[in-house]
Amino acid sequence: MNFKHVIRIASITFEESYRKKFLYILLFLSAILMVSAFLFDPFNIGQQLPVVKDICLTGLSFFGLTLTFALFLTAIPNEIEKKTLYPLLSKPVSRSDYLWGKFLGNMAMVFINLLVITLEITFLINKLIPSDINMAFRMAELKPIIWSAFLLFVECGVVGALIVLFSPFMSYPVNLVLTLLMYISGNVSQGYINFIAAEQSSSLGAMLAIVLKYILPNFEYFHIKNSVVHSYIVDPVYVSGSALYGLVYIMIVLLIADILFQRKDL
Amino acid sequence: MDYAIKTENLVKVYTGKKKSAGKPVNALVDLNLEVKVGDIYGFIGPNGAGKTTTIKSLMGLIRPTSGKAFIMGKPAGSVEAKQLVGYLSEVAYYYPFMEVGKLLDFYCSFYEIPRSQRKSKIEETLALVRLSDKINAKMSELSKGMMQRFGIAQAIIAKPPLLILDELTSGLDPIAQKEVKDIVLDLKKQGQTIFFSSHMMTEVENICDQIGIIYSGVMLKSAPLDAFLKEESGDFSKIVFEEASDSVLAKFKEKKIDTEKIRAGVYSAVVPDKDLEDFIDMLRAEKCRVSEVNPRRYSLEDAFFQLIKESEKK
Ligand SMILES: Nc1ncnc2c1ncn2[C@@H]1O[C@H](COP(=O)(O)OP(=O)(O)O)[C@@H](O)[C@H]1O
Ligand SMILES: [Mg+2]
Repeated sequence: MNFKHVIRIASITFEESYRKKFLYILLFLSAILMVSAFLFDPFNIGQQLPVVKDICLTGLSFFGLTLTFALFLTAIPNEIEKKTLYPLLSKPVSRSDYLWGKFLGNMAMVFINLLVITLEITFLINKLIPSDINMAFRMAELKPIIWSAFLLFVECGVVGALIVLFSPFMSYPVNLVLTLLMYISGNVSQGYINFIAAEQSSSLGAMLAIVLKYILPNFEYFHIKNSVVHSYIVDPVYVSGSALYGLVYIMIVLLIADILFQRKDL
Repeated sequence: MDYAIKTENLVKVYTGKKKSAGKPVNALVDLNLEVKVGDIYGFIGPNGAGKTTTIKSLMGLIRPTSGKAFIMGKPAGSVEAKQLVGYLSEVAYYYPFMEVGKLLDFYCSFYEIPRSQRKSKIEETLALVRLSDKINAKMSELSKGMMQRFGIAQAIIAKPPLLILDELTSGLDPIAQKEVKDIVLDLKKQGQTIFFSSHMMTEVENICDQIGIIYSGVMLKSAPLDAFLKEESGDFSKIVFEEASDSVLAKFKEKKIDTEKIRAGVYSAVVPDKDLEDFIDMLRAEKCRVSEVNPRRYSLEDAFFQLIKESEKK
């Protein structure tokens, strides 16, 4: 793998995606969100702040994941279908360069978008905190929002890596359904999974539980919204642990994707 | 001997569900191909013969079922091999949102060419394919012919020692075809090694010096162009005759010469020049009117059909 090549492919992927219309629709929706900051009554903040935070973070997850699906689902299948891959792969470029470049380019786009919307949200929340509140408290309210967005970014990376894994071999509707299924099953709480695993008497059921437990990503790790909304303390160690988990998961999935993609007839 | 391209018993069986509805397709059968440095090699065969399959294997775009392929001695598809070859695919699309010059720069950036030299290289290449005035145009604004010339540009941008062009002129109008061919002739003058595939025999006769004929995944014959044309001793003439009776046609059949019906009572036949007088005498004796006699050179096309006929007999 050649790192310079990966970056070049990432940047052209980025360039291609910022021409897509849905991006502007997403950003427009988020702008509306920001404008709505001015509609809140600053005197009732006690009850309003958690509600606003909840809405914003839910919206952020929705934006981030929708964007990830929209960018990743078509990225590689389109290039295979339209054969724009031929002139590129006939240059001294390896398939690994291409795969990692595509992943990183799309993730860069996800990052920029999440960054913009997160900044809007922190700006909005900051406005809702009464002006006589001191800086330390203010930061304690705002920092977890950034962490939450950061973990969402990692989560999007996991979803993106899974889509990349499947996309050379599946049409995008199939890939969408499969990845969505994995996402939903990955959201089943660990407590339930342990319970299911203990209850299974048939070997098939036990196997399914093992798949759920060890193979599917555990998206629960990335969700700290409840703590953020209710202004509980968010432990930075927990955040970095989750991020590390996500990163390792992404690496493993992409390595498998890379091996499979090498064998594909284009 | 230095080979620009060499394959050893290349086999490709497509087992996919897509095109063949479950049945495996033997697209390449023990293909041995040798192209020397400096050759202009025309790889000829009808549609579906396996030309694109061969070329995609050479570029590492598909994985041969068995056998080996080398580009300049390097394993086909490896990054080292791809340093040494420029490729124009049969169906080629390029990022439509990019400008011509920028896209060339992008492709160029994968070679070890200093950034400072890239600009002049791009201008030089665009001049060669006559697209200098389009350097700032979007790819989506190019016509089909221009697109194909851009395709040549992206293949030669790093001056690779070998060029592989798949169906260079198919789908282009005659003017665009000529433009593209002229570029290839320019490259030929510069001593470029070129391997190109075509399903049109007439196209390659005036460009190539080596020809390989592939049919149903089998290489029927690979030899210098002359060897194909000198195959049959002497030249031929085409005669057209009218008011032909069955007995005349039977006499042609006796001598194993095919006749072709043009319209009722009017037939044509291609006969060797050495027998031409005999045939004309015979036709006169049978009271046929000979309306046309034209010299006809034995062409690559004739060689091609003859090879196919022979291979089908086996
Ligand atoms: N992806 C594929 N799946 C199944 N069969 C294929 C595929 N690509 C080509 N073929 C078959 O392989 C044979 C050779 O095709 P190809 O190499 O494209 O021929 P050519 O380029 O000489 O026209 C044909 O019979 C074609 O139908
Ligand atoms: Mg072809």
